[in-house]
Amino acid sequence: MIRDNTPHRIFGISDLTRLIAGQLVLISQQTAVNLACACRCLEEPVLSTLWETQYGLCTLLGVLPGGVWDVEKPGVNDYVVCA
Amino acid sequence: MGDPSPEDWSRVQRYASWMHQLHVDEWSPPAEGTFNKLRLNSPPGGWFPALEGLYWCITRSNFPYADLFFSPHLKIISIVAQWSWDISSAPPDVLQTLASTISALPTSSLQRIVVGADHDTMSWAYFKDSLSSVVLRCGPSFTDYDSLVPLSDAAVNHLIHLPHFRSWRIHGPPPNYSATSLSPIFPPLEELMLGQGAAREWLLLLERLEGGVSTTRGATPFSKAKESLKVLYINDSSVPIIDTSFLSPIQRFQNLVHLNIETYCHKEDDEGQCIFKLDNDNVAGLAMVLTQLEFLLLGRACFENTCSTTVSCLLPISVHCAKLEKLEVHFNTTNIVDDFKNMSEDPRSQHSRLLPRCPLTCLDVHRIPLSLDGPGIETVAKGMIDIFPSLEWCDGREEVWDVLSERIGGLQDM
Repeated sequence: MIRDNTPHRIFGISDLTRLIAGQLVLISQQTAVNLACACRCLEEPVLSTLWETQYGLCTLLGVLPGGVWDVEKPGVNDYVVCA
Repeated sequence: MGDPSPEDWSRVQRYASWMHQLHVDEWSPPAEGTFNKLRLNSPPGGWFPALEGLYWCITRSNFPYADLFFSPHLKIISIVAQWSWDISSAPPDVLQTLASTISALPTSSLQRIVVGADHDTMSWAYFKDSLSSVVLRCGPSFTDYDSLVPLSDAAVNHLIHLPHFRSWRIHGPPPNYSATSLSPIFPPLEELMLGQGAAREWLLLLERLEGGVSTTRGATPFSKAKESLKVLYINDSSVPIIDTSFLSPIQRFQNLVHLNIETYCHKEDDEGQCIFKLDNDNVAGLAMVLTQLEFLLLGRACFENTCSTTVSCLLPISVHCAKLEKLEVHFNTTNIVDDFKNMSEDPRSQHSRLLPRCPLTCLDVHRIPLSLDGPGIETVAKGMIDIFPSLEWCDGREEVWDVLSERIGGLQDM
């Protein structure tokens, strides 16, 4: 029997997919990411949940090409002047 | 640093738009110029349009760019300084830049402002005007002001009139409410923290306003707060003395759950003298009024052993504050063994012993001295358990408290 590739219509209800994503991320972030890769309906809810709270900017700047986000430790007395 | 393409920036924008809480720390600063590139490529609605919580550690490298993280949906803003940086000694242009950044904080959805950390020794007073201007723009959604920055009189009055204002850390004295001016009606606060230079003046104001005029409906300025206040935290080294006049306004808050008077009698070099001037009856009176207490700290207990309170003050606390879990109060241990013996013969104590006691497991004695021989340890251990049936140990600096705690533990295991 050939299975229908159409996702269940429950995945069209954004409130529900967001709830599912929230629970998945709590249980296991890696599982959540795997599911997001496997099911397009879950991609955005899972990613948005994963990005909801960020500690530092490294992860965000990490999506830029290499070299942009390299961490540099400024000297303790180095003030940065606004350009 | 290479130049990201428009597609690269779109990717950043996509992810940034999902962020609700952002902690900008001091530990992993991006490469020099990154913040500037972020500013130059900022999308029309900003990088973080959905951001609701911004926890910003100001560093020498990120301070000019805080506005990159501002969003109209911000509900919580927390600002602390890099641990090694005393902002108050920063160059004037840096202070001005910071002050104008603070002035620009968005307030349309703001609920909570936190500025400075408890352990800060530096002064945040420079930002009084800028933060006051922010407070003056806050609307009905605002609930918490937890900041080491003193506020202008106008800002204080504005806070007082916000309908959902619940938690307030105050630094500095209150506005001058003259006898002719209309007394403010304070909101139903749940937490009040009186910081440096605030305690004495604010408590005096409370006493004066409560003893003074009442409105036509019989409400007093603090009538809502007297019912609602659950936490009172006093952390003001300028408190000169803890006596009945100091406690009198505090006792008006009869639903207090947490009373924390974090004062020290002596400076770090032990200079100074004991400021605890309450007696057993005063402490018993407090316990009889504040029966909802779960946490009671009446100033850090010092080493002088000159106070007039004895272990006798602990029994009414245990009886009347039936939910108490944490306690620290000065008591004189010079004649502690005799004090326990006298207590057992006192008819009032005998009556109290018939009543249930609080579930306290640890008695904080901080620097209270104790000198006991073997039989004395036994008497005191039994006496302490008699007052606090769930007691497991006494937490003090002197080793003898550990010996006593061991005996208490042994008796409890029997």
